[in-house]
This record gives sequence, structure tokens and C-alpha cells, in this order.
Amino acid sequence: MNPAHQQLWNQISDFEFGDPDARLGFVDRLARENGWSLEYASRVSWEYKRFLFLYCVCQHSVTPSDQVDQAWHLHLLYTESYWVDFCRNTIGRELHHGPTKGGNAEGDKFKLWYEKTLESYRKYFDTAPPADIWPDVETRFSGFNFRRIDLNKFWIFPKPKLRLWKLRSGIGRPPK
Amino acid sequence: MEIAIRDWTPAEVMMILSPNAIKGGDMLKYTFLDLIIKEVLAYEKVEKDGKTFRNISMGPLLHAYQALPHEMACLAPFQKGQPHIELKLYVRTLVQNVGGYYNFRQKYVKRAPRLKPYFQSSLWNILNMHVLSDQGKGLQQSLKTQIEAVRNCLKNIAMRNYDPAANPLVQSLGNNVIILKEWEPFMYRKDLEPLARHFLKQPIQVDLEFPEFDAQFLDAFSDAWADISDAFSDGDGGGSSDGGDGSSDGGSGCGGCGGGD
Repeated sequence: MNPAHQQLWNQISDFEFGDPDARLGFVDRLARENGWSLEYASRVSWEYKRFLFLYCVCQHSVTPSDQVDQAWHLHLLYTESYWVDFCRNTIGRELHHGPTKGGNAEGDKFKLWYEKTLESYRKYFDTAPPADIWPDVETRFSGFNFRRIDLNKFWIFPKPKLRLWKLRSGIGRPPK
Repeated sequence: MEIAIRDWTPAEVMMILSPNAIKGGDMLKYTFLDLIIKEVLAYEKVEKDGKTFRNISMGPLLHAYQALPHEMACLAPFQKGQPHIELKLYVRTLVQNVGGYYNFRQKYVKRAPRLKPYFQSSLWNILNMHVLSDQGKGLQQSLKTQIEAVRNCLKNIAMRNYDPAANPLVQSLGNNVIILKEWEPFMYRKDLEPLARHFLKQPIQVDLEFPEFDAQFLDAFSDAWADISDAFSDGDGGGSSDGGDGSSDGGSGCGGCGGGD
């Protein structure tokens, strides 16, 4: 990081997401809406700041991990914090969120952006992105199927992870 | 080898003094305050845009300090690179991580290996009641005697009846002096500040010399004392509800992950 980058990073890392006296703060809400622990949500919000920094300094387009994207979505809901406190008063520019338009070409584009984002993360922060928040490209784009569910009305059970090869071979090793 | 009273942590002392009555929340609070005094964690108040943010961060001695298992719970949020956490969020995180105040007492403090000889197995354990061993009763008795003497001493000092000869007695408790009700005036009264600094300033571990506290530290700690007590008093309420989202312009949503260029 050059001095200008360092200064920008200091501004971003010192940014506070909301009201310190709020009973349900930014991180609490991030945790609640995603079923995460507070500690994990807190780490994701920190990684989101790192992503915002990369967005500002990288010469290429950037894409967040799904976890970081959830923090971004939530921050966008806090419109005053996002557009006024952060974009205008902290970094002095607008950072827009662009959803995918769908299709294979879009998928390939975002994969490439994500790969570059991980590379830039290593370069600027001199450390590997934590894998539990920034998974590799394959995992990141392995296909999610998220949907809002009212937990007051529905129970959620995990699907059993039975693999076809296990059924075929009957043992715990994939057939060669 | 017998452990000097000053080398026990506040939570351990509380566990020995009243194994079945002490509140886990107090144990967690004093564990946390003790780590701030030791400069393993740091408390900082930041004013920004008219709002006051109270942050907990890694102290200068975090990496050098050999934390006990129950102290590790307080340090865990900083183990994965996050430099600071807002105080109330930190307390809620802590409470969630340890599985509630009661669990902190039962699973973190009580099961500490170095407390083992001081408790005996008993049928009462089934009801989560703890019975002191003979060794534990001996330690409890000597703690009670010593603490009673320190209490009287602190009361006298607070009534401006200070005898310097009492210093070694108060210092013999180490940071555990903070669990005493009689310690509170030392956190609020300016005239007691030099003595407060004097009583807390001491090497705690054999291989780790804690720095001398300056007036600034004690001011900050005095602030932290009040703020942390507040944060713990409502730190166990995990579930909050909100009234949903407000939008002035009809709102819009995005359909998936995206990027920016």
C-alpha cells in the first residue's frame, strides 16, 4: 500500500456502520438475517470494509464473496450511512452495486472478477483472504439457492448429503 | 505449588469464595476488566459525528500474555484479524460465544484445570452444585480472612484515614481487589486516583512485567468501568426485534450477487 492507499484504508477501517446505541446494530442484524454467530458476522463486516477498499483502489472490476455481498446488501439498506456517511463523507465517491444480469457470459465475467479480487486482496493486504469468508472461485460460484423463509411458520431441516458414488460402491471411498 | 492470591484471576477467586451463588455475568465482567488492567485488551472511546463509540481492541500485551482457558473466551473475538469491536457488540458476542453467563461459570471457570484440586466430586454435581475439597475450604478461609482485612483497609482509605502500612495488604490481592464493593470509590473519586494506580500497578506473572499505569490509563479505565458495567447489565439480551424496514421512495431490491466497476 502506498501512503495514499494507507490513508484511504484508515478512513474505511475506521468507518462505523451505525448508531452505537442501537439495540439491533448492523452486525446483530447481519448475524440474525444470515443465521450467523455474532463473531462471524463481525468478521464479515470487517472483510466487507476490505472489499470496499479494493473496490476503490483496484484498476479492475471487483466482486465480493457471497458473505461479503450480504454485508454490502445490508449496508445499502442503511441508505444514509451508505450514500452520505460512507460514499460522500468518507471516500468522496459513489460505489454502485451491480446485480448479475444472468446467463453464462455473466457467470464467467463474475468468476473472473472474483478471481482478480482475491489476487488483489493478497497484494494489498499482504495476507490470504480468510477461506471461511472468501472461499475459492469454484466454491463461490458452486450454485446457491437462497430464499427468505419465515421461521415462525416453517421448520428447516438440512438435506442429507448422500453422494451417488457412495450408494454405488457401498463404502466410503469414491470408485476409481 | 501453591498459587499466591494475587496470581488467581477474579473469576477463580469468586468461584472459590462462593461456588454456587456467584453470578456468571459478574465473573465474565471482572475477567474482562482484569484483562484491560493487564493491558491484554484495550478500551477506547471515540467521538465521531456527534456519536460516542466505545471500542474494545487488542492491548499491547495480547500476544505475550499466557491466557487461561476462561480468559481465552474474552480474547477469541480478536484471534482472526479483527482489530476492534464496539463494546456492546463485544459483550453480546462474548455471551453468545460462552453459551450464556451460567455456562461461563460452569464450563469455563469451574472446569479450569488449576481449580480442580479445590473441588471434590459429589452427588451434588448432578445438580450442578459444587462442593469444595478440604484444600478448597482452606483456600476459601484464607481468602475470606485476607479479603475482610482488605475491605476494612479500603473503607478506612475512602474515609480519608490512610495508613501507608496497609499498602502491602491491599496489593497482596493483586487485581482481585476490583471485585470488592469497597473498591468502587477508587474508580470514581479523583482524590483516590494515585492510590488506585498504586494498588493495581504490579507484576502479575513471573515472566511478564506489566507496565506502570499513568494517569491517562486510569482515567480511561475509570470510564471503562462504568461503561462495561452498563454493557454487561444488558449484554445477555440477544434477541431484539425491529419494526421492519422503512423506505421513502417505494424501494427496490437486487436479485443476486454482483460487482462494481
